[in-house]
Amino acid sequence: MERIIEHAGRINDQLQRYGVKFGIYKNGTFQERLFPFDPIPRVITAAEFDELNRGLVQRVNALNLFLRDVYGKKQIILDGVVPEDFVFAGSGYLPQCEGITPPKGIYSHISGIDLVQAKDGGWFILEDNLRIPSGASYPLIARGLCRRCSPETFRENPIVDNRNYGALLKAVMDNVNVGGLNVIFTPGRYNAAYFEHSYLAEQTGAVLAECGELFVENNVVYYLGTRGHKERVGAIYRRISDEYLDPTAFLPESLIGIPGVMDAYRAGNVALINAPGNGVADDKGIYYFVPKMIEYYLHETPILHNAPTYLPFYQEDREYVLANLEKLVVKDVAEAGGYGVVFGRDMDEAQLERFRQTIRTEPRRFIAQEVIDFKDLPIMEGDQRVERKADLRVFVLSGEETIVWPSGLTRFSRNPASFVVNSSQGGGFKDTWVLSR
Amino acid sequence: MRRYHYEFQTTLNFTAPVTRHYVVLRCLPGSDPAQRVVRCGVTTNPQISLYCSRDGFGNRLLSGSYAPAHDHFSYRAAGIVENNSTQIPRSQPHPMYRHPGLLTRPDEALLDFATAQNTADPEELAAAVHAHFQYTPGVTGPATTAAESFRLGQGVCQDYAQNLLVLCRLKGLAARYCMGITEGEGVTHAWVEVHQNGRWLGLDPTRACRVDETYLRFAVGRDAQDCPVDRGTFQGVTGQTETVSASMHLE
Amino acid sequence: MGTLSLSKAGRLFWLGRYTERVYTSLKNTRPIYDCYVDGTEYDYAQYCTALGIPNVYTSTEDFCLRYLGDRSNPCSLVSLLYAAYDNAIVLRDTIGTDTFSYIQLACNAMEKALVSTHPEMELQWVLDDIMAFRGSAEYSLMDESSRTILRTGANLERLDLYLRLDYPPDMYRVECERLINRVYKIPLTPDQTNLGQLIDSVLDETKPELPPFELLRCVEGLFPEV
Repeated sequence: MERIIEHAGRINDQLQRYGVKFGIYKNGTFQERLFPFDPIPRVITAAEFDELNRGLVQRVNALNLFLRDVYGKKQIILDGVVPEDFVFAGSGYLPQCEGITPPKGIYSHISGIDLVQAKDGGWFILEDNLRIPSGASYPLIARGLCRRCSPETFRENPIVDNRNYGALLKAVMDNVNVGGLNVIFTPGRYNAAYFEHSYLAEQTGAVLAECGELFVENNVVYYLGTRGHKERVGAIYRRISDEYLDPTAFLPESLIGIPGVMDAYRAGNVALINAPGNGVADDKGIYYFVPKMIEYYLHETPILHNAPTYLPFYQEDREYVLANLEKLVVKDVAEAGGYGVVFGRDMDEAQLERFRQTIRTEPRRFIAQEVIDFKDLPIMEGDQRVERKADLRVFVLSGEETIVWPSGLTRFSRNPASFVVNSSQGGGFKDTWVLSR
Repeated sequence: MRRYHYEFQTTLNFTAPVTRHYVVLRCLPGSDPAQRVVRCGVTTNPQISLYCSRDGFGNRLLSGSYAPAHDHFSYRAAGIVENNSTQIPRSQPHPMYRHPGLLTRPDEALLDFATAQNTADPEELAAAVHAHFQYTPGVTGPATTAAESFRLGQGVCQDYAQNLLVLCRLKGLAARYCMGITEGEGVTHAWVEVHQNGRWLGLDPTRACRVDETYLRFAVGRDAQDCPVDRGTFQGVTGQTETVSASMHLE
Repeated sequence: MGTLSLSKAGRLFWLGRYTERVYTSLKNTRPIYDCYVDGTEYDYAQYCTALGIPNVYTSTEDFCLRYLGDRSNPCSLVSLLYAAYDNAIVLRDTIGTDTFSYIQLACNAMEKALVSTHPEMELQWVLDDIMAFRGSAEYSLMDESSRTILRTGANLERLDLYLRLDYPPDMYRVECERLINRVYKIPLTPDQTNLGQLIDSVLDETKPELPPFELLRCVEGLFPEV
C-alpha cells in the first residue's frame, strides 16, 4: 500500500489526461477544476464491509418501502411512527407523485449513503442521498488508473475489483426500462458533475441527452435524431433535480427540463431514475426516523447506527438541545452540500442565546447531533503525511436486488480546521478499497 | 339543485410561429354528488389528441402536444353540471392540505397576522383576509406568494385565497385551493375549501361569502402553483397574447 | 449507438473542423515562424486577409506570438484548439474517454508550448496528439455515421483552407470530390443549391469550373443546420 504513494504524481497526470474534473462557478464564471486525488486509499476490511453491506441493503430497502408508503397508503403516518409534519411540510415531498407506482416499485435506484467512522472504529450514517447522488465515477476511473500506475500494489493486496460499476448501473436501468433507449439526461456541460454524466453514459452505453433532445408525444418519451428521426426512450437516469424536471408539472420557469415527462411517467411509459419525490425520504429531519422505518417495515433491528440525533420538534429533545447546545452540531434541514451546519462550540454566549431562540420559534427546522470524534485519515500534503477529516459515500444500487458497490467515494477536507468534507467546498478524494479477505 | 351549461375558452396568439408545443389542461371538472358532471368535453384548435389522466391531487388532467409550426392555439371546454350544495360528501382530507405549498409559506408578518386572529373559525378568518385586502388587478401575478401579496395588501382572487389558506393551516385546519368558474360571464376564479366536520366547506374570501351552487370547481391543490387551468411550453422566440372567457348559465 | 441527435452531429462535425484547422494552420505557419527565427518579415497581413480573420498584429514577431497564443482572440490557434476541446468534452459518451484524452493531451501540449522557450518542440506534440486523436477515432468509433461526420468536418475544413490559401487546383479538387462522396453518408441535410453547384463544377466536365472564391461560398454554405 505504501508503494502506491510513490506514483501519486503519475496518477494525477492520468486523471488530468482523461479530463476527470468538476465544474465550479467562481466570480460568476465557469471553471473546470481537477478533483485532487490523494494516493493513500481508505481500506475497508472484508469483515467491516460485510457489516456495512448488510446494514446498507437493509437501510435502502426500508427507505424504498417508506417512499412507496408515503406516496401510497401512508400507513407509517397513520400508525404514528413518523409525524406527518416531517413528511408533508418539507420541500422534498411532491404531491404530483401521489398515486404513481414507478416501474417495479423502485423509487431509489441509486442511493448514496454518507458515513463516517468514529475513532473507536464504529461507523455512523451521516445522511442518505436518494435524489441524484453523485461521485461514483471518480473512484471508478481512479481505480483503473491506479492499477495502471502501480500494478504491484494490486497484485500484492486482495482488493475487490470495483470497475464493474458501469455494468451494475446498466443492469439497474435495464431492470426498470419499459422498452426503448437508456438515456442519461444531463443539465449540460456547465453542471458541476458533467464529467460524471458523460463518463457514466460511456460506461453504461446509455445515450447522453440534454434539454431539447428528448420530447414527449402521445404520452411517450422520444429521443430526437437528425432529419426528424425519433427513437423511443424506456428509462431516463436524470441528473437534473426534481423541480426542473418537467416545467408543466413543477417549476414553470425551468428551461432545462422535458415538458410532459411526468405525464409519460404517470402513464407507466418511461422509468425515471431516481423517482421524483424521493426528497421526502432523505431530508435531515426524516433521517431521525430511518431506524424506526427499518423496525416498522422489515421487523429487523437496524444494523448501522445514526449519529445520536435530537429533534427539537419533540419537547424532551428540545430541552436537551437547549441545555447542551454548546457541545452539539445543529443542522438546518432545508440546506444541503455542507451548508447550514453550525457547531455549538464555535459560538459565544450571545450567539448561543440567539440560536436557542431560533430553535424555540422554529423547532421543525433543525436537527441536533452529538459531535462524533471522527477517525482522521492520512493524506499526503506535499511529502508530508498529515491527518484530515474524511467521510465515505457508499453507493447502493437497487435493481432486481439491492446491492452495495464494493467501493465508494472517500472525500477529505484539505483544511485541517474543517469538519465539512464536500467537493463544492474544496476537498479532495481517495480510492476506497474493500478487501476480499 | 341547479343545472348549468358552462363554457371556458382560452386563445393564445403568437407574434411568430412556435413549434413543439406541449400543453397540460385542468378544465375537466371532477364529478361528485355536490357537483355532478352530466356531460363535459374539451376541443382544441389546432386539433390535437389529448390524454386524460389524474394528477396527484385527483384533478382530471388533459395533456397533448403539437409539433408543427403554428401561430395560435386555443382550447374550449364545455359541458353540463348539476350543483347541489346539500350533497357535499364526507371525506378524509389528505394530510398535505395541512401544510404549505410553494406559494403559501408564511413569513414573519403572516405569522403575526395569524396570531392576532383570536379565532380558528374559517369564516372569521376569511373575513379578516377580505378586510386586509383591497381588490386590485394587475399588481400581482400567478407566481406571487401569499406573503408578497399580504405585504402589498392588494391583489386578486388568487391572493385572497392563498392568504386564507395560510391562516387556516396556521390554525391547524386542512385547507385547499380551488380553481374554477362561477355563474355569469368572466374568467377563472379562485376560492378555498376548509375541512370542517368531515366535509369540505367552500369559502370565497374575495367576495366574503360561502361557496354555493353558483361555483364550478375545475381543480384543487395546496395553492395556485399546484393546479393552473393550463400550462404549456413551446419552442420559438415570440410574443404572445392570451384571451380567456368563461360563461356559466342555468340551462 | 443508433440515433444521433442534431446537436451531437453538429459537435462531431465541428470537432472535425476545429482539429483540422489547428493541424493545418500549425503546418501552414511554419514558414512564418522561420521568418521570425531568421529575422526577416513575412506578409502576415495577406495571410489574415485570405483567412478572413482580423489583422490585429504589429509585426511578424507579434503575429507569431499572438496568432498562436492570444486566448482573448477567438481566431488564435489556442482558442481554436479549445473550441475543439469544448466540442470533445461534450462527446465523451460518443467518442469515448480514450479518444477524448488525445484532445486533452493536445491542449496540455499547447499550454506547455505557450510558456516554452522552444515552442516548436511542444507544438510537434500538438500535431502528434491530433493525429493520435484521429487514429483513435477511426479505430475505436463503433458508429459509422459518427466517424463519417468527424471525417467530413475535417475534409470540409481542409478544403476551406486550401481554397482560401491558394492551394493548387488538383489539391482542392481531390478534397472536393471526397466531400461530395461523403455528403449523403452523414445524417446532416446538405443545402441543395450549394451541393448542386459543387457537383456541377467539380464532377461535370460539360459545365465550367467555378473560381475558388465561388467554391468557397458553396462549401461554407453546405450544411446550414450546423
